[in-house]
Amino acid sequence: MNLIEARALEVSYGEIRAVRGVDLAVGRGELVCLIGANGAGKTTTLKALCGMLPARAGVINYDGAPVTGRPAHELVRRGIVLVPEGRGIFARLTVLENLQLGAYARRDAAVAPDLERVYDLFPRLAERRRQPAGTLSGGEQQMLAIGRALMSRPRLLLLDEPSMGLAPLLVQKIGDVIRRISREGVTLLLVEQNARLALAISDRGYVMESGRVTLADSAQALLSNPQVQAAYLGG
Amino acid sequence: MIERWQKWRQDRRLVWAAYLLLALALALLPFAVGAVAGRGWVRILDFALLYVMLALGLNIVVGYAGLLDLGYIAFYAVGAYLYALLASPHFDLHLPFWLLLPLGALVAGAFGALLGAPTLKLRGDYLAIVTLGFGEIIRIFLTNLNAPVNITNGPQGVNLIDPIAIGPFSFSRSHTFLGVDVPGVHAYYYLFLALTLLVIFVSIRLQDSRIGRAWVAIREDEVAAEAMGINTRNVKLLAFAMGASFGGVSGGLFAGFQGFISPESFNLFESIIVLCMIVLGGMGNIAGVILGAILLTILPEALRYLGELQRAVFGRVLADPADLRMLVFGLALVLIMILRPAGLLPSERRRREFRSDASVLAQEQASLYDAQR
Repeated sequence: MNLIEARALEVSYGEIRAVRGVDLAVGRGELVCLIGANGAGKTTTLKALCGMLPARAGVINYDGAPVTGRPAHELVRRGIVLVPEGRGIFARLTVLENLQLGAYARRDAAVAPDLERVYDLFPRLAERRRQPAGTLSGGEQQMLAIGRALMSRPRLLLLDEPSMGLAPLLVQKIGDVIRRISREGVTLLLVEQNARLALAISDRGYVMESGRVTLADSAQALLSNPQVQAAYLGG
Repeated sequence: MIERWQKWRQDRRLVWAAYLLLALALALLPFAVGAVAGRGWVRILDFALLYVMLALGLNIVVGYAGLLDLGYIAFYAVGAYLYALLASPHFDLHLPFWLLLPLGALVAGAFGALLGAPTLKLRGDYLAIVTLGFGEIIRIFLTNLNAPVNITNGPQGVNLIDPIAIGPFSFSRSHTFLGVDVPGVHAYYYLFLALTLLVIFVSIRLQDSRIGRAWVAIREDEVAAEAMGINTRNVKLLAFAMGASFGGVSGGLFAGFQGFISPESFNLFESIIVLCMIVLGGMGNIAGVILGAILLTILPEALRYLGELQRAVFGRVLADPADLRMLVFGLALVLIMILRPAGLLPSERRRREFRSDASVLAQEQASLYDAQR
């Protein structure tokens, strides 16, 4: 059964229609990626799914119930959490304060085990917990953004371009982390321009072009698809 | 040195002794000031406390939530006029003080939300312009609401406002306690001090609360705050309303204390001065804001003695002290901001912001190296 699905989803910025009728679904426990060129509408789709942008048309169902038009803060409480593009960490707050804010939407106060889990996943963050987040390197900031999202115990994690601007070694590290989070049972939808990385770790993939989904298949099949190879994997 | 200080702080008895000493000093302060500098200075002390309350209110909006508000004095005006209209011969209403004070907080808070609602999508400079306009609108309304129905008495203002009284105890008269003569200005000092302590207490509690953390998140990055599940709309409205309610309380006290108010007391310059208090003292840091408020209330008054100072030094008055006063005041502000750009007592986060980028770069290099290892 699908944890989240969008049908005929349309999103526009004023007159500009960025997403023009997208159908997609992510099953429970799946790791799905959304790849495509700059401006294809990937980020917009993601923001609509988590309630940060209003859908102009179409429906979004989450956990068997419609959530179209629900505000972001409500969806976070229900388990949909976005890791925004460019990380969006609180640069002047310490690493620990960032992580604590990640648990903001939770009603229970038992965040200590979750902190331990995040520190276990990212030992660098444990070392730097008292440091302002702005002094972290790009890779560490991305780890912090993911760790902060995990603090809210998400059921569906939406990752927007986690590999952006990172050194190749760190890209690989982020890939490992995403796979590990997926193995722990979190459902993931990953938006990436780095199609090679995304398809290498995902179960399934969608390819977006100018606001529409043009291909949907298993990650294996997309990797060997000549069209995809030519357009997104550099031949 | 620092170790000794920490050890000292750990000793509970010494901490209590320090608090006791501070309480005693605050209790005796008006008598000491009155004896040394005269009653006029006790009055200035009273005003300093009113400004501390105002500044702590604005600190919630600007310091905690990061929303630049240039029309804050409007809430002071709302509180003052509410008190003046409901406790003066103007409408021949004389409601009691204990009712007017919370009412002032409530009405000012509502005005705060009223200002907040249309400005939710604005930030920084844009928000500042709109709030500036709001402050002026309130002032102009107060000036012109004397026709066709006379509500505010226009530019003449409201006179003969009831002094603050709790039951038969009026704060404007002299009383004798245990054989000690306590004049009205002293009684007001204790009342204002009690309410200031309450406002400080609320400020501290807010800072450490869930809402306080949400404000910080919004100030740092609104989109990320939304992604954390924070209802940014409600939390911002709450900041405006809470900040405004502090202003409303302070305004009500001002009206009762002064006995006369007019729209001229609530002009743009007052908004700017309150903003200066928190920027200069240390935005977001309660102790800094208090220091800033006291300093900026006392400094302009102290500079009135420039004439006497000149006579003492040069034997005659070289420059008119009235002209010199604001010049020196402005110069002092400029100097403080150059020497302490994050404020006199900056909050830890402000200090981080002003720290040089060099350390950031060094860290980045180090961690990249670590990643490759």
